[in-house]
This record gives sequence, structure tokens and C-alpha cells, in this order.
Amino acid sequence: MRQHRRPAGELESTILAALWAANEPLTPAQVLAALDDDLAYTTVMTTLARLHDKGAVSRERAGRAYAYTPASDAADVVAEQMRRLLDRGDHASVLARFVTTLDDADGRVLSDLLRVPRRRRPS
Amino acid sequence: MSLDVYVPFVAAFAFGTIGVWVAQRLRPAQATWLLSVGSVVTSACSLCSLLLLTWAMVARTSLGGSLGDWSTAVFRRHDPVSVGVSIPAVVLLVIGCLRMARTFRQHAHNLSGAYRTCRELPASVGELVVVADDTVAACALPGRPGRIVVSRQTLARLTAAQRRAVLAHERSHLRHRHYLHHVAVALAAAANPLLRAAPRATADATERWADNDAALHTNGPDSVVTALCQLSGQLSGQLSGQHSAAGRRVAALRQPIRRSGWSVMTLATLALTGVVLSSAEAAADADQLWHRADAITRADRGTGVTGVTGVTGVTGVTYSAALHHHPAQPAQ
Repeated sequence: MRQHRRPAGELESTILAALWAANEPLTPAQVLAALDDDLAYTTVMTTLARLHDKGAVSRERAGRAYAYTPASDAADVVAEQMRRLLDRGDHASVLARFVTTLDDADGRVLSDLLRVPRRRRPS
Repeated sequence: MSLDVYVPFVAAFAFGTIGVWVAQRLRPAQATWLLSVGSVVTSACSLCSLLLLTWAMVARTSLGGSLGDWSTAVFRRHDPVSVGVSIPAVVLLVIGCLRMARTFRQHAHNLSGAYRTCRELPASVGELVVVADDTVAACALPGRPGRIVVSRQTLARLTAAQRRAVLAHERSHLRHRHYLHHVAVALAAAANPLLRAAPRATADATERWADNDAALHTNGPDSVVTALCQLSGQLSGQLSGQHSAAGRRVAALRQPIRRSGWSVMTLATLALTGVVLSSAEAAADADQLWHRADAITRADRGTGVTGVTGVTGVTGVTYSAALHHHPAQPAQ
């Protein structure tokens, strides 16, 4: 079941992630195309405007619309702190990383599982 | 002191083996709560038992006699705890406390670092923080509010559905405060080595929990699974360890647990309540013994005793501390 009303923060994250993934400025229409979501065009526009008001994205004219680029000033602050946290080694309990426990063998297991996704396997 | 004092050790052993095994077969939210509450209860009760055993030893020695005005002979006569049990108890208590202090310091340091990072972010930064650093794949950073930190490379390699899966996964970690479960279990396991399997099981359970939430958010497990694969293929060189947790995660996503698990949770609650009650019983026994010693001493001397009756409800903390501070005090 798709949730139809989502908190504004989640929308902003989704759209920001799409902008970061794109590697070039995106217009609202392009953002909408880059999302796997049944969002309305106006929702994307409003969210982009809100992100711009906060200073999280910058924009420039691209024809009749604006093209948006994510602002990167926060990245440096965090990257340094994250590196310090991660360097200490014992971070598992604080930083729940998405792929923290994967290694080469896991990659193979995953590829196998993906190739035959519906077959029963011992866990 | 009767056998009650040993119940928590048996319980911790049972929980560290059977409890962990059972948790892997429960739904992730139930498994996480069972593991954290069960670990904390059995660990706290076994620490309490170690304190009581330590107290029993200190009270019967001349050192104990020097601390209060009572007859150490009463303890020797009425307390069934032998020195052969008490000395290992003291050693285990000291080791457990030191390990717990070290674990606490590590986690407090890391958590405060994470909170500080979240606090120092510019106001323009919302829930999602994107870093140019490739060594960070995607993680949940606890704070007020917590943030999702993802590297730019990670986002670029994923499809829109996979990005949503990863964000939903990390959001679930933050929303359900999984790091608190991790810290609680880590402390419990540091204090009691019988629970050493619990931290890994808790990490697995919270990953399953977040994966399930992400699958719900993206209409099925496929995006989560492909995102896991994509990121592990990309980052395999930077990842270490001999786990195969990801395989278990994918299997759990493919075959979610259907049974409700409430009967298991009820049984576990009853068992843990039993452990707490037996600990309370052991403490009450110790308290009674204390009063007895006090009363006999009073009767022997025919005088009112000061300074002892005020210290009832003993847990032994006072005395184990005194052991370090007045080692050379003469016997009375």
C-alpha cells in the first residue's frame, strides 16, 4: 500500500536524493521523471521551492523553468565528522549502516539469490 | 542466602542461547525488544547476584566485622555461601563492571559525537545529508533530529526505487531508535559474557526490521534486495568481516515471518518476571540475614547499636567499595 500523505521531510529527502544522483541541474519536470513516485508536478515544484528557501538547493533559469542543483556546503562538515566516527572502528552500534555487514562472499550470495529469487534456500 | 541467588546466571545462559535462537524466528520488532529487554534484565539480575555474593563474603570476614557492629560469626553460621563461590563472584563482578564501564565510555563517546554532528549542521540541511566521501555508503546518524547520511556515489549508482528503499531503511533505524537497543544490549553483554551472542542477534533483528519497513515503503522487497546487491558489489573492497548477514536479510525479505509470536513473547515475559522475583527474594534473604546478625549482636552486648540499622536494604555496594578504601583496617 502506498502512503498518500507523507511528511514534508520525506518528500524533501526523496527529491534532494534525486538531485544529487543526477549530476546536473534538473528542472521540476526532470525531477518528476527521475522519481519512482506518483507525485503531482505541483508537489515537486512546491517542495523544490521550499528547499530553495532553506538554502538546500540553488537554482538558475533554464528556459521557462528553473533548474535546481543541490547545495554542497553541509557535505564537508559532515564528511569530516563521519570519518572521525567511522575511523574509531567500534561504530556498529551508533551508525546503522545499510551495507555494514557485506563482503565479497555476501555479494556472491546476493547475486545467486537474485538469479533465482523465488527458490527456497536455507537461511 | 538460598539458591535464588544463582537463578539469574542460569537465566542469562538460557537467554544467551535459547533466547537468541528464538529471536531469530520472531518478527523483527518483537525480536529486537525481546533481545534488549531480556539481555538487560538477565544481566542486571546477575550483577545483583554477584553483588550479594560479594557482600556475603565481605560480611563474614574480619573486614566486614570492622565495618559495622555485628558478629561475623552469625554470618558464618547462617549463610550457606561458601568462599569457593564468593571469590569467583568478586572477580566476575570486578571484571564485569570494568568491561561495562569501557563499553559505556565508547558508546557515550560515539553517541555524543553523532549528536554533536547533527547539532552543528547548517540550518539548510534537512533529514538527508549527502557527502562526497565514498567511504560512507549509507547510514543513520542518531541525533535530535537524527539524519540519514548517504554518499553521493551511492545515490548515483541506485535507481529511484532503490534510493527510496535505502532512505526508508535508514529512516526506520532512526524512527525506532535502534541504536538505543544496540547500546543496551552491548552494555548487558559486556557485564555478562553469557550474553555474548546477543549483540550480533540484535543487529540482525534491527536490520530485518528496517528492511521490512523499507519493503513496505517500496511496495515489495525487490528494491531493498537489489539495492543491497548493488551497494555490496560496489563497496565490497571497503567492507570487511566474515559475516553473511546480508544473505540472511535477503532470505528474511523473501520469506517474511507470518506467525504472530505473542505466545512466545508472553512466555518470555513470565520467565523474565520470574528471574526478577528470584533476585528480589535473594536480596530479601540477605537483608534478613543482616537483621538477624544485628539483633544477635545487640542481644549479646545488651546495648543499642547505632549506625547499622540505618543501612538496610543492602545491596553490598557500600561494602565492596569499602573493601578498596580500608583494606588495612583492624578487626574488632
